Amino acid sequence: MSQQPVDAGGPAGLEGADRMPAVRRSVILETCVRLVFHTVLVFGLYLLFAGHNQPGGGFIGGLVAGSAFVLRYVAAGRAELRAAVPVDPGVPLGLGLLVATSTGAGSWLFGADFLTSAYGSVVVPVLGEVAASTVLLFDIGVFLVVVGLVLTLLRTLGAEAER
Amino acid sequence: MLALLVLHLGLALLAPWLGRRIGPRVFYVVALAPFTTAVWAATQHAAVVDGRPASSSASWVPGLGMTLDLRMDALSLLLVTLVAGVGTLIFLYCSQYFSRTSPGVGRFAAVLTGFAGAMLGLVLADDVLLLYVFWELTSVTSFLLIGYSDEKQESRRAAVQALLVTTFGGLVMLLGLIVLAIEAGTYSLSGILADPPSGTPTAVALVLVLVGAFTKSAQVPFHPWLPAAMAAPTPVSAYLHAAAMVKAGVYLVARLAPAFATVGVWRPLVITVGLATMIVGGWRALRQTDLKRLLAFGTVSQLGFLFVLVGAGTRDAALAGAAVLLAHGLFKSTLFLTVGVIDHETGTRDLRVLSGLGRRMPVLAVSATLAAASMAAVPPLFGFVSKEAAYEAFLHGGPGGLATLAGLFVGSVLTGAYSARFVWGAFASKPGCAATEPRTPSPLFLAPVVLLGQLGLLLGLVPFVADPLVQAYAAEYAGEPEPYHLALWHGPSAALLLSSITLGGAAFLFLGRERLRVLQRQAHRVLGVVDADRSYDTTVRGVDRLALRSTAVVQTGSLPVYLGMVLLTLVALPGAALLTSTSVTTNLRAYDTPLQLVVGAVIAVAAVATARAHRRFTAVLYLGAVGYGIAVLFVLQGGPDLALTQFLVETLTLVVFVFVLRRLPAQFSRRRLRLSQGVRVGMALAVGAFVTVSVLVSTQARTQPAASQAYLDQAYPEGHGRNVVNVVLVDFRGLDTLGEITVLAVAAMGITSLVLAARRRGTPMPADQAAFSADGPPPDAEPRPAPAGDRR
Repeated sequence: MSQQPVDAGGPAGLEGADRMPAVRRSVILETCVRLVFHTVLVFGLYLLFAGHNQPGGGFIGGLVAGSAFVLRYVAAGRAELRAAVPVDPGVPLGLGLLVATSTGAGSWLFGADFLTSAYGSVVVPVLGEVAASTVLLFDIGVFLVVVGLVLTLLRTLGAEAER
Repeated sequence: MLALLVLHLGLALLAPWLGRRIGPRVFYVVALAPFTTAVWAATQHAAVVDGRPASSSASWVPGLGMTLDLRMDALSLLLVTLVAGVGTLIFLYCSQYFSRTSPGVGRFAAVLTGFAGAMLGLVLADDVLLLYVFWELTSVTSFLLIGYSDEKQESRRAAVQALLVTTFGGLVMLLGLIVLAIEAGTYSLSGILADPPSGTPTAVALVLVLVGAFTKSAQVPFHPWLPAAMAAPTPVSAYLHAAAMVKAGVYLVARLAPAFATVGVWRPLVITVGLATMIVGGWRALRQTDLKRLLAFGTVSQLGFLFVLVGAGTRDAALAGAAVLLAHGLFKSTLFLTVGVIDHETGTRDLRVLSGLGRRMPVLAVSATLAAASMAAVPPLFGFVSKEAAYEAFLHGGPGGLATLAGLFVGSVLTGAYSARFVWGAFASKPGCAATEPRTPSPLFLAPVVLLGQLGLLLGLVPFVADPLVQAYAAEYAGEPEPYHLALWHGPSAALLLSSITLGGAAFLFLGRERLRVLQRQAHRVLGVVDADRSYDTTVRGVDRLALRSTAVVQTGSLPVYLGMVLLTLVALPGAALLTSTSVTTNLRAYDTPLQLVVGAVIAVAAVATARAHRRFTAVLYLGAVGYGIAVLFVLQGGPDLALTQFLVETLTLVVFVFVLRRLPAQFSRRRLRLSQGVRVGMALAVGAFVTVSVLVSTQARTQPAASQAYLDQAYPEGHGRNVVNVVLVDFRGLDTLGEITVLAVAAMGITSLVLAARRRGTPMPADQAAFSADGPPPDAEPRPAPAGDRR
């Protein structure tokens, strides 16, 4: 490996990696992550929304979206992780629990038991008629909790231990 | 009635916020709760005395048949009057007792209001489970109030002691109440009393219930928590530990006695314990130098007295008991509030230091003397009227006959003596003591004391005001032709003679106090061996030590030992059950597609390689291969969701492993392990065999149609989803999923706090010297962090 500083901070690299010692940087990895990060994230969201009728769901979607952040961290270290997720991992965790619980409690408003699901379809411009169920909201909660957990693992066992 | 409870709760919730805004004036606001209650109780008086109890009912947990049944008859009304009436005055007193700078006034007011509500609920509850809930609520609020000065170790110890003793009793009582309810076939208190069960289970249940009452009302041998609780601020002592909470046990006994006094050992047990408490409390009160502790032991003694009266199970005794209950609530709270004023204005409660206060605080002295005289049963105070009634109840061959009477006499003499000692200690000018210079208390600070003190005198002069209420309670005992009435003058009678002798004896004891002190010190040297407070300490320490020892045995800190224990338990318990089953599935196919064989072979090779790896990193990679192989099997079986999850979790686990491995030595330890390789191989084989056999057996064990079929059928019509796995997760078993994501969040918090706490202590991460080991100490392995909940 070359001992000379690699100019990876150019258009192809990840900014957070500038803080890393040059010998530990990998242009190929950084470029690849830069290319696939958004795709992986969108794929996670796709799995979340498609989960009701096709393979997927909040849990799997959350894991996929979480692995997008794993890639960012592995490629460019904790500064990059902080740039990718500027909030504390507790925020998605708490938000997810809040969403899931209030979805469940929401059915009380309609006089139904906790977590009773409702189903309907709405007309969305461009997409046409879209069928939706309240369990999707619940699944979003699951998604957020899983993403939060992955971020926690990255933050504690990864980034904090790095210091 | 429910509205009153809600009012208490609402004001309690409001109080912390108000306390921050307006300081001690918050008590004016929260006093509304007991005041409203007292006014309401007064309006109900006529109907209740007439035998028409007020009641209300609301649904609570319909699924369990629990209802919020409240009912106020004469006994409840008596206690409500005490709780709310005395409560109102004490809340007003609090507004003066606490200064603007006292910390946490709002919190204190909140808990005190909460307590008043719980106590109100306790005496109104008509459902035994509801009664229990309120009972424990008073224990918890009492714990918080005793521990108000949480920076003092004494307060904390006293709070814990009160909590442990009373909740221990509460749990025992719960057992008794449940047995009682099952025997009676109803959880309604009035229902149980209307048709009381009998028989051995009932007798046992009653003893259990009595244990609860004994602990709550500080009866021997559970009494030490009450004097210790004097660490609380004085209003708390006056309210909880004189007027209200400690009366809960008395209330329960008074409630049950009409139906159960003759069942089993009730009568001898209650009378014996009550008399012992009365005498022990009185004896100890005479030794105290702290005015508050003197009163505390006096309260213990009086509670014993009350137990004898209300537990004896005769009409006259019950009537006397109700009267003493009222009298005690009045005079004891007066005396406690007096001590509060003295403490507040002079800074001490030590009767060896206080001197000449009577001349400097005449108003206080007169009120306190009235109250103490009522306690000593000096005519014409209400205490005298009730003491007469008590003597009368046992003079004509009441339960226990002369023995009980003699016990009551001794207790009363002691009571008279410590009453005198209190007045002398607080107000007399003592030779050799510099006169105490108190600050002048504000009129509003004195008002509750004066009012309560005068009430004792007033009721003594016109006892017929209180008579209908106590008569209404005593009426629960049917029969007995010529009912006794409360009156100041019954003509010359044996009871009057006995009262006079009691007062004479008390005066003798008080005048000979120097000689008594010597005698008590000598007696203490002999009797001091039996000290209930010390046995409490011994018990608590014993439990602590047991916990430490068992933790030391169970928690060795060695991961392999933990893992071994878990696996051995698995093999031993469910494994033993497997041996008894006979049918093993015979419907075995070698494979569905040949590809499974290939994948299976890969998994097996990877597993063996994992076990044989020398480098940690290699082992982790092989382990990952096993996981991915299983994911491929899922794909081949047609479970894309399952396979996807397995892939993702496996990946994440691998990443986490790599994070952790950065901190560990590259190679596994080469030290000789404590368990030989043979043992470990044996254990592994046993677990493998167990898993295999259990799969073979459990596939054959089905007796009901598979639940999965119902899910498959229902997924689309009910859940509107074609992905059955997802529908099950988010809809059919949504509550499970909610529980699991909660676990995930908790695990995340756990990891964060573990890692960050270790960092804060200066050790970046448990590294090579981690707290866990491959062979006990010294350690060399890292706890594997829980991977993202591998739930499928």
